[in-house]
Amino acid sequence: MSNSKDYILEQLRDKISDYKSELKEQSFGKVIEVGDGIAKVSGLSRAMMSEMLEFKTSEGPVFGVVLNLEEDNIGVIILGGFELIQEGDEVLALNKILEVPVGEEMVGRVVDALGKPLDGKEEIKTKNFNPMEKIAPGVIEREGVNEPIQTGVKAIDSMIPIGRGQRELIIGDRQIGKTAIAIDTIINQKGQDIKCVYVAIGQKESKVASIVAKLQEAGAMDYTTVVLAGASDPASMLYIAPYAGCAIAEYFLDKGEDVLIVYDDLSKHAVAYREISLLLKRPPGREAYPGDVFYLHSRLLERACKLNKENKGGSITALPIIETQAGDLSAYIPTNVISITDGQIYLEPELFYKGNRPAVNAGLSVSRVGSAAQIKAMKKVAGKMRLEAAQYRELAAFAQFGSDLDKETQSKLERGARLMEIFKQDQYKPFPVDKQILVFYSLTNGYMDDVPLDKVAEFEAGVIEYMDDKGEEVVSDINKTGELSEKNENKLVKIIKDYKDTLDYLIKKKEDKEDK
Amino acid sequence: MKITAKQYANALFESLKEAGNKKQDEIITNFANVLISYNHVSYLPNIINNFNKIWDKDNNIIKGEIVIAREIGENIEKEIKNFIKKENGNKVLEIEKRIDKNIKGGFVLRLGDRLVDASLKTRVEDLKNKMID
Repeated sequence: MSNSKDYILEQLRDKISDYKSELKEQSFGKVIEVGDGIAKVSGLSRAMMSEMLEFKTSEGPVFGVVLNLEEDNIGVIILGGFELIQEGDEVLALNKILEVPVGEEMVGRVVDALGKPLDGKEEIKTKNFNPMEKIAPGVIEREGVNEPIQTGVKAIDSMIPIGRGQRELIIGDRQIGKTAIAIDTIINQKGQDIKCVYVAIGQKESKVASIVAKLQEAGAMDYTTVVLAGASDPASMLYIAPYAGCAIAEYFLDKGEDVLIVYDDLSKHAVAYREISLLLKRPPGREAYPGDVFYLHSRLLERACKLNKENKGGSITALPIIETQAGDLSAYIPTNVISITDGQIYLEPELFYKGNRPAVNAGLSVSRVGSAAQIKAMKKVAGKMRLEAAQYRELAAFAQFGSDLDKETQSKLERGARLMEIFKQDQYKPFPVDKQILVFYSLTNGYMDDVPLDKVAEFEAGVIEYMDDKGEEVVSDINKTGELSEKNENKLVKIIKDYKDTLDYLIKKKEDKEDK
Repeated sequence: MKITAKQYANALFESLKEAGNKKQDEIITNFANVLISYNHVSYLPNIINNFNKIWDKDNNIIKGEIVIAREIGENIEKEIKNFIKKENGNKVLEIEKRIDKNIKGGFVLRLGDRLVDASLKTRVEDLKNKMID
């Protein structure tokens, strides 16, 4: 007992004797004006852009960030409770740029935009800090996207492949499954040695809670950090949240790891920035957004990158999400972000309500660099699918008018209908790439043409199960080499044919034909 | 164009400086008339504020205050003042003294927008934070 007491005393003594008080000159100012999350401060003539400030209030310190430098005052956004700040309060410059704690300790946690835990677990103690704003890597440090990132969504991996280091926008109306695609992608990274960061900007806390629960259930929180700036947080927190998330991701990038980051969603981020800008009396432009709203997103998304070998070869893949109003793709923010990113996944309400979920529109969705990253086996089987899907949509629209269709058109329609059927996929059930290849192979080579439309889903599940049983060799070969060799192709055909021989409804059909 | 309080203050300062000691009364009367005719009398407190700033800047005056916990005797006070003067070169210093028991000991010096906090209170808090870590 007395031992431990002595130990504690010893520790305290050490700490006190280690303590050196140092006098330093600080820069200070006074609050002139405060309101709605921003403050005007006089003095502080040596303040830097995006420097941290400390407001000395009667109830402890509140922090702020310099956003406007003017001749004799500065504009500050307040991070946290601005109600405590009063006119005339003293403001100290902290001589450091806004930064966020980073490190392995952040993995598996839910934090706010300043890196403070929100999940009720222990405090996060990291050794490292990263600045929130950082200039993106330049040309010399980068290399082309050449490795795939598997989303586990069939419609995306086949037609709109995404590579590591790419920025692929997910765009669509509200309540249409944008977040679902991002979450599925995170879940599908299990065991792929990829770290994930999910940044929730202006989301309902209940929605984020259910997402975190889902990730935990799927075991995805083992490699995921959630950065949350909720709907009730001040606009300043919403504004810095994606930069904080990116700074956390950059820690792993610097170690040469691959990172996936989801910004959900950037339209709310732009709205938060508009609020701050208007309060700081910056002139409004189109849709009342400030003039630098393009730079706001371009500097964030430029930080997604694929570094070359000399720079450890890490990557940050970004999946920004944009919510459109009634499908209006030509609004200000959607056009901006479409032009910044390397492609977009467009989700369509019409498809969604028809039951095609995920409601990916194959015509309007593109991936500008991803095809270079697709594995060879997938390229082989899925090469024509994009075209087929687009043709089907066109033909289906025409076919509604007349019933007399030639044989070729009819078979194209039949094939297309099955393709649409295959793209249907349940939420939270990502599909491994080897199984996707099997399914797509049987479709594009006509092995599904005689399967009735309402049995396609059943057939798909069945053939996968059969493959697990009989085709282990092929699967491991594909996963190892990423290629579909002729030998394996033949084996694949045999497995599909064998499976079809076990199906009652197909055998019956065959017999009927023979009888005639 | 809207004329700001700062521009008024600048104009007043320039014209007073040019005129020297002679016509000061006349200039000030004229200035007041201008304010009245433009309906800008409500700017006056702001103008005075700005004028003081311009005046201080032109005459190399730095205003500041020193806060201490209790009376410290003339010798120490003189020493501190000399030290500050040495640090700030040829500037004219106008330093007010204030006694605040809350800081417990040491001193807090504010000069322009610079601050040196050598109070006992801050140092004890600093030590407390270090020990919690």
